[in-house]
Amino acid sequence: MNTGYDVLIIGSGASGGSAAHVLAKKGIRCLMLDAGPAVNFERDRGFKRVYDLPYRGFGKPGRFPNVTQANEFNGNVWADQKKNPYTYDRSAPYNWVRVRLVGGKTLFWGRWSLRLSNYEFRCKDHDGYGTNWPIRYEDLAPYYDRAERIFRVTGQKAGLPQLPDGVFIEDNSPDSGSIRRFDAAAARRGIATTKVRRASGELASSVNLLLPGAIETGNLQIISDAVVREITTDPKTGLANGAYFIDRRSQHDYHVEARVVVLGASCLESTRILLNSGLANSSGVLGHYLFDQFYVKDVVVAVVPQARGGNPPRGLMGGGGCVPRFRNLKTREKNFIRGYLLDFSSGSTPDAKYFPAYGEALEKQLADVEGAGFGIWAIGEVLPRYENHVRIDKKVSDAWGIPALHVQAKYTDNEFEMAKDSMRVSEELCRDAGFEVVASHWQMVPPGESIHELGTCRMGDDPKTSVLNKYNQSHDIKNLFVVDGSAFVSGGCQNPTLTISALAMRAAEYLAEQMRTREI
Amino acid sequence: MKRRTAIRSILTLPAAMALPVPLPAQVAGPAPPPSNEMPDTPTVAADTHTDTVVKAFNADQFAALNKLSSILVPSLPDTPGGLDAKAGEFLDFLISQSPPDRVMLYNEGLDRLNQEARKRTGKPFGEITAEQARPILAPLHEPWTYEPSTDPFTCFLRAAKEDILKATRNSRQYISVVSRRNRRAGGMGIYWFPIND
Ligand SMILES: Cc1cc2nc3c(=O)[nH]c(=O)nc-3n(C[C@H](O)[C@H](O)[C@H](O)COP(=O)(O)OP(=O)(O)OC[C@H]3O[C@@H](n4cnc5c(N)ncnc54)[C@H](O)[C@@H]3O)c2cc1C
Repeated sequence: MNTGYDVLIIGSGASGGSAAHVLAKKGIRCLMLDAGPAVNFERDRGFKRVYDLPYRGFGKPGRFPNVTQANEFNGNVWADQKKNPYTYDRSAPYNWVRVRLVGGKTLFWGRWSLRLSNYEFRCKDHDGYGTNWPIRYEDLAPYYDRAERIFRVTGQKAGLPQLPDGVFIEDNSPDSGSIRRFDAAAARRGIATTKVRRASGELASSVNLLLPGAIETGNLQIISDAVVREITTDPKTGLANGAYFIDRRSQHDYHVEARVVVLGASCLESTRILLNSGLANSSGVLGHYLFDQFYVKDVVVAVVPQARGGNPPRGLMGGGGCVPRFRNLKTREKNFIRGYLLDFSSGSTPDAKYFPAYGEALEKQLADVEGAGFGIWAIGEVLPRYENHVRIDKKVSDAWGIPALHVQAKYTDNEFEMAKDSMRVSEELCRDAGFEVVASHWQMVPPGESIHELGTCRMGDDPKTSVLNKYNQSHDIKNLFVVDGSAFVSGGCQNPTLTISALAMRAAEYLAEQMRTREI
Repeated sequence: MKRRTAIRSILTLPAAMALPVPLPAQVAGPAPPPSNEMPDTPTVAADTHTDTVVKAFNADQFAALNKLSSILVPSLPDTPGGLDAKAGEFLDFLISQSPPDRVMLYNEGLDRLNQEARKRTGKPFGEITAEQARPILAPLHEPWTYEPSTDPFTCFLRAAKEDILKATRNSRQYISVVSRRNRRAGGMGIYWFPIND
């Protein structure tokens, strides 16, 4: 029975989960809709040997042309590309990686949890490009504190303005010898390194950290398998009053009513719902300023010579760390603005493809470098540009008849130059640390593949150039909030989820207060 | 009474007078109810007990692929190679299900192996030695580049090297031998079943 909820929350991942966590605890009655089923780890997973899988671990060919993260073990967790199509121009591929399960992508994320800084929030003040956020770091800091406590983020304080410290579970673990050598090489060049800052526990998801507290209050109900098609409005007031959704399995149509609608269906899905609803776009920028963070995977693969021979000395290998952004802070680079971070790790075995050999010779080389690898990934800031956008592709619909997105995103010279720089610096640091560089390159993966898609529903003070205000509230419809990564104005090179969660909690606090004072 | 006569006399006695013979169990008492527990019915894997039907490749191509498997991932005294792992059969199956560009890469690559071998030795690739194959496989001695090569044959050789190695390392044959030496090499992973479909 449709009982008329206070707040309808669409999506149960980091954003929807964070909003529900705050709202339900404030006594607000919430209904959450999620397009996917609830996961049961006992029932839905089991150990298998790779040779017992039908494709020996290769996966069914062509099943996930745009999800390089998919393999035959985890193939069933990603959104099916045939049922959930989207389009892009052949010349500009976009890898949109989606999880449609209760808990969203937080069931599988890598758990890196980094704060943004005023280098991002005040980016235009710093280098003149783009738009400042309507908030400063100081506005979000208390919510970062809360999110870090919930996600139990481990880390070590470093006192860096470009990567503010958080409320960490102190990580005092000793670094391995190879990591110490790399850190020292960076320090000699004035480049800071930090320990990895990461949510602890194998599972650090909305399902075990955000939703249980909300459910416990009795104020949150969740409907799974509910694919939202559009948000509905009251024709008299123009305010949002609910949503149409379709049962994923039966295709049965439903409508639900609520006083307020909070969208947290993930960056591009929320924007798709708004575009399909024809709402919140008086500015004309809905769908625009799509960006993410570029990845250069294995920008450098190196070998620690002392670890050769297949049996590295104890304490030499293992562990990892982060080189936070160091470019364009106090000095200016000639070829690009903004910066990138490096994610480095020690103790892997370099892939066979890097060795120009085969047969027994290859086997010997691989045995020699077993566990002796030192690898680096670069994660770079992508500039938000109006022309990078999503729009509805009227010719294509998903399995529920909902029009699909067309995505248009390209990297340009600023990103290319930054990627080249990340390769040069990574090589230099490895060589300075005494490592042998086996391979290096600067080609980034296609846009989207970092799974850090951001923008398209950005916040701002000016309703003519932004969709949301500084509380993630639609400028056009005051009882409509969008709390996921689509609200970002710029993204830096820090993984975005901690910021998504902090922003969603801040928006939910504001919403609760507005509801209390009957502003909404 | 002689023993044989005695037995005969027993056999001809009326049933009621015969020595009591233990009855078969099922008629000894009331029949136990049939078990409702699902038994584990043992089955065996198709690829260890039968031959696969080659689909993607013609005989020459398949012979070339098998030879390539034996050269790129040879059997070593203590480690199964591509042939032991039936990497060729597996890749034939995989390629038969693959998108057209992948099928073309393999078809043309295997044909090229045969052409090159015939040109150099008068024999198809499947019949030449590893030593004779060396110059043909020279692109595999070129340093790695991130950008795919512009030469389709080099692309094929790189793809085949990766695929044959993976098909071998992930095979039952390889894992069962290697995991005896190293318990971590068990090829075990967490598999996600279809979720509430
Ligand atoms: C493998 C992997 C590694 C990652 N590593 C990191 C990392 O280390 N650090 C980091 O910061 N981030 C990481 N991320 C990204 C991180 O998971 C996301 O930023 C985060 O989950 C985004 O939260 P969200 O709520 O916006 O979206 P999601 O978590 O995707 O949740 C969205 C939910 O909305 C639902 N939904 C979608 N459409 C509809 C609809 N029409 N109707 C109803 N419901 C709908 C979906 O089913 C889903 O449950 C990683 C992601 C992956 C997959």
